[in-house]
Amino acid sequence: MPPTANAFLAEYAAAFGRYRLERNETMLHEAYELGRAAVERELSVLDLAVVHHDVLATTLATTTAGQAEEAARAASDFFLETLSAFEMVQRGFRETREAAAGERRQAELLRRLSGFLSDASLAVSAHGSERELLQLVAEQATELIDAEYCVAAASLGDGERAVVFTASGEAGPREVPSWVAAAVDKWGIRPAGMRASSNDLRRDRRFAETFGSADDAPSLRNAVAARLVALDGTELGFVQLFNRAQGEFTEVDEAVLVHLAQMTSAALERARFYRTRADDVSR
Amino acid sequence: MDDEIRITIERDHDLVPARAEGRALAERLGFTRTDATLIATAISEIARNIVVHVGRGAIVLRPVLEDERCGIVVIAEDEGRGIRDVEAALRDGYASNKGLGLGLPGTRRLMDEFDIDSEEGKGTTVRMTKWRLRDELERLRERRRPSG
Repeated sequence: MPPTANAFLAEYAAAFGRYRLERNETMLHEAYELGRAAVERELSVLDLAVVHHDVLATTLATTTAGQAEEAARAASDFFLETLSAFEMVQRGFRETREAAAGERRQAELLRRLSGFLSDASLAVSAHGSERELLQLVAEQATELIDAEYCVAAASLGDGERAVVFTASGEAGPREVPSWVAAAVDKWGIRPAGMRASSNDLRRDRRFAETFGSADDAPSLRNAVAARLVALDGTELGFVQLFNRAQGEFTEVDEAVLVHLAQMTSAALERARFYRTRADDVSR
Repeated sequence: MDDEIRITIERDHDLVPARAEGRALAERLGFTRTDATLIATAISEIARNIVVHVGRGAIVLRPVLEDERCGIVVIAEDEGRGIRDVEAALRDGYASNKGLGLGLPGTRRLMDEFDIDSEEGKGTTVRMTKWRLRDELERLRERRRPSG
């Protein structure tokens, strides 16, 4: 056993001995603090298991047959408390693994979407390709970032504007509720930042002014947006997502959306260029 | 069962009654030993935050009974300086949690629902809930129990 674990063994044995004398929450709290200290000292769960069973074996060797069951139950309660800190750590590893898998999936989706958006034939097709492009981007955005709703809007020139809405769901696309359109019309994108958490919404004066009571927007939880910007800096439009499927929108979500918005901006400019050229030729 | 339990938190020793009440309520609500331990752990971590970062606050425990599930709501409230960046605080490695997965991020992972409401200069309220599904037999017994 490494020196750190040896020192821990003595502490564990002493604390367990005290717990057997006083079976109360103070002693269980001490067990929990021991587990926490084991995590901070970077002991493994195997080290903890070895320590625990060594202490239990020593304890059982000095108890009578009649006390063995009590000793084993006390050891079980004590061990459960010390392990709970490791449970927190283990759940953190699981979350990190899931996040990494999610990021790999996002990278793959972005690669495919990039290929599609940079395809010149998309830009050269009939008028209305920009609206189709926005629809595709909105659908992909909800899938990429696991959001319930997306709004994508862009100016098409000559004062015309395209706005598309999309909603995701386990059963496939579903209808977009009216509050999504209201949120975009009345509320727009947060000027102070592109992400609005549940906490931010609760404090946003414009949210309260727009929706009044919770009944008007019962399902609006959080939002993230990215602007569509031309190469010369002209604002073309935006892509906005509402309600992350789980939790709040993260920095990574925002970065992915910004990347998607940049690809979309380039595709829109390309489409506009070919449309202008086609119009010039036809004159 | 709609009693609320409030425990003032000012020093390390106050974590013990908060844990004890949380564990006792979890057991009354029929949570397993494992879940009762995790609830006590979550209370420890969140109350420790009050002691370390603020100095004074409270833990409030509330049972919630619905038809298909029951739960324990744990609220940790203080009137400290608030959390400037809640998102960062929920990330491993922020402040004193050294990236080990303990503290606020660790606590969040133990519970089914977790929410922080914090404003600089106005304190913090953490609200978290753990749920247990109630099976058909339990719901039937509940309906047959005389009311009052």
